[in-house]
Amino acid sequence: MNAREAVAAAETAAPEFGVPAHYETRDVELRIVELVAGAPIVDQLPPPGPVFDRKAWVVQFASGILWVELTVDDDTARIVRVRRSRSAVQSIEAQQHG
Amino acid sequence: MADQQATHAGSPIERANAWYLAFLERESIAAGRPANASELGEHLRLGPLAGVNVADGAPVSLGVYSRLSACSIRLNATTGDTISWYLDFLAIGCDASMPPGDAVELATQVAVPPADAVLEESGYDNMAGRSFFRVRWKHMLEGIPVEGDYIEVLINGKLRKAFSLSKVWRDPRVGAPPLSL
Repeated sequence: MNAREAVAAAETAAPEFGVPAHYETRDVELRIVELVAGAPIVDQLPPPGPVFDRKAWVVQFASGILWVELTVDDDTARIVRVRRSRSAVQSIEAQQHG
Repeated sequence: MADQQATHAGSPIERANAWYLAFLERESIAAGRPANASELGEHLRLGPLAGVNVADGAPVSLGVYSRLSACSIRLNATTGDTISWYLDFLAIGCDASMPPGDAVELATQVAVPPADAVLEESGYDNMAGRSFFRVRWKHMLEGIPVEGDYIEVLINGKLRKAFSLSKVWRDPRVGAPPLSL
């Protein structure tokens, strides 16, 4: 997988993980990430548990200071983690309840 | 009875220390300014004089040491490795007089960065009115950054000493995903 493919995978999955449509793709970086086995994908602070390492692309969507990161596994192209800025969480939740 | 047992517990130096603190407590009460031995123990402690060998069965000369500064250390509960340390008294009176090259060299001596550490930034920074030199390494494996890993050393340029070290470093083994992935 290259950066362009990672961005495409993240953009396809973005609606499923609540990324607002007006957020733009701001950054993409290949990293070695540590994940907690069995932890929810959408979680700011995963619970303690066995960890494993994956090579993955971290794709950031943003609008101003608000951001959402989708982490795309380099081998499987699946979304393995979603992280959101605190302000983005509040903004998205407000829209959902409004 | 329980107090007496506690007093006699531990090494001879610990027992001497307990005796000394109890002595100070009695003296402070007699002087009309009562102080608690445990509180005194946070600031004063008996210890062997520098350069004196402590041998079994031989008399030992002890000195009174007073607390100079707070020092915080974080250790990995599993491995015992040091995660970070911070010495407050070395952070006081910072300035930007140390040449950057010397500061990076000192930080390298303090941190001993592994071979897969890559210098990420170095330079003077300001925080809470203090000007200090920051050196930071990131962790790269085959050109890929290890998320969250870093080593950071903060230096007092005036004293030419490091006052803080933080090291978040792991040995990632990128492997097959669990079945759930």
